[in-house]
Amino acid sequence: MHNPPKLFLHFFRWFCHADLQKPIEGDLMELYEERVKDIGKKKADRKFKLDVLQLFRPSIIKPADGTYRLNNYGMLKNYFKVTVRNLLRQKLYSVINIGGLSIGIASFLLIFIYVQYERSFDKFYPNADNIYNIYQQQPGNHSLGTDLYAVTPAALASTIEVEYPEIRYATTILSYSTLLEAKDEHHFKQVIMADEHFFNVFKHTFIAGDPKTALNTAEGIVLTQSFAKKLFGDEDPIGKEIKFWAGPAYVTGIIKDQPKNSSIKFSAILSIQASEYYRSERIKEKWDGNSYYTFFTFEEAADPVAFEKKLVDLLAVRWMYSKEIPNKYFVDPFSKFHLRDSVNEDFGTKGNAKQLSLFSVIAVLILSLAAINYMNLAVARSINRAKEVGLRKAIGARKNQLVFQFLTESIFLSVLAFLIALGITQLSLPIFGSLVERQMEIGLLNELNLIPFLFITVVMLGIISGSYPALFMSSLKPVHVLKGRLGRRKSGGKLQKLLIICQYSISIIMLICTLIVYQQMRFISEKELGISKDQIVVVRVRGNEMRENIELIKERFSNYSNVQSVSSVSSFPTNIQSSTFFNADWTGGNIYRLYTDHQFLDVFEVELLAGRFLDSDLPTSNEKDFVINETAAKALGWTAESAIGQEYINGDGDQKNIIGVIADFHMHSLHMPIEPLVIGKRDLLRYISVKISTGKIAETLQYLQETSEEYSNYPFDYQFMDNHFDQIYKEDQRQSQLLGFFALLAMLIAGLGLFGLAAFEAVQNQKEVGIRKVLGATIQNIVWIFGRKFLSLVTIGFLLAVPISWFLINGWLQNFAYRITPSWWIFGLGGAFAILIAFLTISSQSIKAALVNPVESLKNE
Amino acid sequence: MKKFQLGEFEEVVMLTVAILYENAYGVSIKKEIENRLGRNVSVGALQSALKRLEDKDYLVSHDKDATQERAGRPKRYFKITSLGKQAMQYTKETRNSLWDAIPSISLEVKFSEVYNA
Repeated sequence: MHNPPKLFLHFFRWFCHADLQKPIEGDLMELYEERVKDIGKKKADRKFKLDVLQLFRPSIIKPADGTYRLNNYGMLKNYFKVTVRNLLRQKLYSVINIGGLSIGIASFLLIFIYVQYERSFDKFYPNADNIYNIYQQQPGNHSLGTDLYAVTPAALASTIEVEYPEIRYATTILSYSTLLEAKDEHHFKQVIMADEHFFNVFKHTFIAGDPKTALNTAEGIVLTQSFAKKLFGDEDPIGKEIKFWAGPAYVTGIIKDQPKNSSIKFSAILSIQASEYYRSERIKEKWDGNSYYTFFTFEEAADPVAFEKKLVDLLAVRWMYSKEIPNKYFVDPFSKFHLRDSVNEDFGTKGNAKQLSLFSVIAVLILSLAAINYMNLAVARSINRAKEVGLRKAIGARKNQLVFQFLTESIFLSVLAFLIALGITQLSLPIFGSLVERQMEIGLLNELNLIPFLFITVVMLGIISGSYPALFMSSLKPVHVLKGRLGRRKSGGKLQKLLIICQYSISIIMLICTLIVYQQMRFISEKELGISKDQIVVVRVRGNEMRENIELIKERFSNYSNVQSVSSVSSFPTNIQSSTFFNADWTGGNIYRLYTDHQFLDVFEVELLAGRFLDSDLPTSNEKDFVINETAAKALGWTAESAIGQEYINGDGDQKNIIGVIADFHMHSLHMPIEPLVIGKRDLLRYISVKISTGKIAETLQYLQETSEEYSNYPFDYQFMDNHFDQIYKEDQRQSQLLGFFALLAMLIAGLGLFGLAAFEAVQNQKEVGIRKVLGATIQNIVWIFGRKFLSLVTIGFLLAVPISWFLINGWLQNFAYRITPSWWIFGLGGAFAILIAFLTISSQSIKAALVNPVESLKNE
Repeated sequence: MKKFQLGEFEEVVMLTVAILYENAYGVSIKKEIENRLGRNVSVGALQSALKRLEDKDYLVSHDKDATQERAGRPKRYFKITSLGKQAMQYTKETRNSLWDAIPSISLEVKFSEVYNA
């Protein structure tokens, strides 16, 4: 007995068709034996190799991965068919299962699209990666909760461009709304004023004109395509005249409209050279004012961090004051610009990075809730399919084939749910979009790179949610299963209980947080502010004519019958931004400034604690007369009474005679504590506040509008105080609404899951229920027996949820200077609600089971 | 008529299987062809022909005799089916009819042309 070359023998065995392998191998061996005898082992080996190689031909080789692949195809078809049949047979579970998954995926998609959209901001510039912004920190100058400021000196851009070789282009920008006049029509539009380097930094697509020269003269103006069309129709706009506050400008270029996801929005770009103030600021050797936004691009391979360090030296040279320089410049990539919050005086559409991460977490949570649902239901239903598993095993299915079958099933379901979710998303995106104030669309086809991600997510979801059921079912023992002795209690499994607990913890946490957030929002809207905000219309003063005639307008307003009192103010008293250092030596934090007239107290109903308020224009009026609030008086070491007649000087350097002290009122959102405030008198102010009577509001508004428009070409710009107040909390409101929405969804999904399980349990235990009834159990008994199991799980979930939500919500409440202390009953309420829903869900099913006549449930055995 | 398709080598194999009668398996067929026709037959070519013929239902096979010198592997014996017999018959007849149709002069002319060329 000789051995042929092993390698070739194995090779032959590997490639040969299974049917032919044994007889052919026999032939080969027979020939080999003969040849060894006849011509020696060496030659026989060679011939053997040759034979094997010549056998390596299509008809002998097993079909490429062969019959197995064909079989898999057949099996896949079978899996698919079985899946569909199962879905159709048990419609209730299918609806719960696919419905839950769809809702989960749809919420995930909505949030995903939103987050993706927020992240896509400003990426459309071809050089987006190389655009940077400079902002600054003014340590000690805390205003509105931060000492960061987005504004910089006028000469910063040109200085860094000249003095630092690593800077390629730098540009200075202003952004505001103004009136543009073309063809005798007035348009109130968002514009940008920028220097001649603007288009070198921000690469816009020009339809007409030359980006290099468009802003070279003070009279240049570049329009967006849509605005140019609105102004001039089909005429060629180049060279056309547009008037604005600084005089005439002539159109030098037309650019494409910016996409929606641009944080810098405008209808026109004016040359900043037109501003006299800018020109005078530009030539200053020493810098004192900060009014402009600075953007720049680097030369290739420059290091932003190193450059940021150099800016310290720059400021040292240009610093205007004798005091040491506390200020610091920071370099921020433009990609961060949109999500940069809490920087004072910032401009552009802003997103909220924290909110995005919160939502991302919620998205993943809701998706996991849906996945958990799937797992629980699938495991519960496995009892129905145990026979199928047993039969498949008996016929010869291997364990991994069964795992594969159930995974295919869950992937199929998640793909199906994904398609439904796409539909839901498409329908609900506009609503969601208006909630977050973004116009989004499902741009899956536009963003092809997202498709693989979503596909992988969906398949992963299928695999994850299907993994446990698959492993569980594939490990069933055919002997037990086919005998019908599947341990029912065992199938309930610890994992299943754990999953229910998780699910309910998550949804109860979301529910409790929502309740507390709502309570805080209520607290905010009902809190005594110390200032009246009802029945007050605030009219914006725009344009020189209106500003100069402000006293006359006030007079005419107050003569109208429905107007109670009128006062002009420098800003909304609930949103005071202007501030200066508290002490003359620039220490002690901030004192906020408000300018108004003698009627302020009448309109806003703020209480005067001591002294008197500002005078009307009587000879006694003194421009050094000032009124402070109680906090300021305390901070200066006085009481309200003792402050009267004192003198003090703050950061702006003027001496102030204190003639009165008013009670504290909230001049910012409740996120911030009440801070010192000084109120002075000034004539030309930006707002006229009008206290009106309750009736005939529309007529009053019309009167105010008509009167204002006599003095101004600007559109009538007014706001009700209380609306403006609500706007301050818009972000909080939005968060609470979305949180509430998703909390309800989470509850719904968890409820669906529990419903499915309870319904299943009820069907499974029909016989038990029948026997118990025969033996005299009441319906209540039965409901309790089946309900308590689930209820205890939900209760454990609740107990887990309490500390977690306490921790989370406390973190959130820290954002508010004035906040509620969450009371225990809110936690109780959240838990009670969850438990009630769970109880109703379960009992609806158990009652159904309990009502069945025992004859029905016991008759077949 | 495409009813019976039989390639040249396939025909040789069929004939050999018929000759060997009850004793036709891989090695014996191979040796028989080599002996009778003096041409080398590779195991691969033979086996693929056998498989083709079996797929066409001209041959049937059964396994037996797992012997020591074959490393415990069975011999796969082949037998001609009645369909196979018809196919052989058909091939033979078409050949014959073709031969019969040749005018006697044709061959001579052909040969002389070849020689002349």
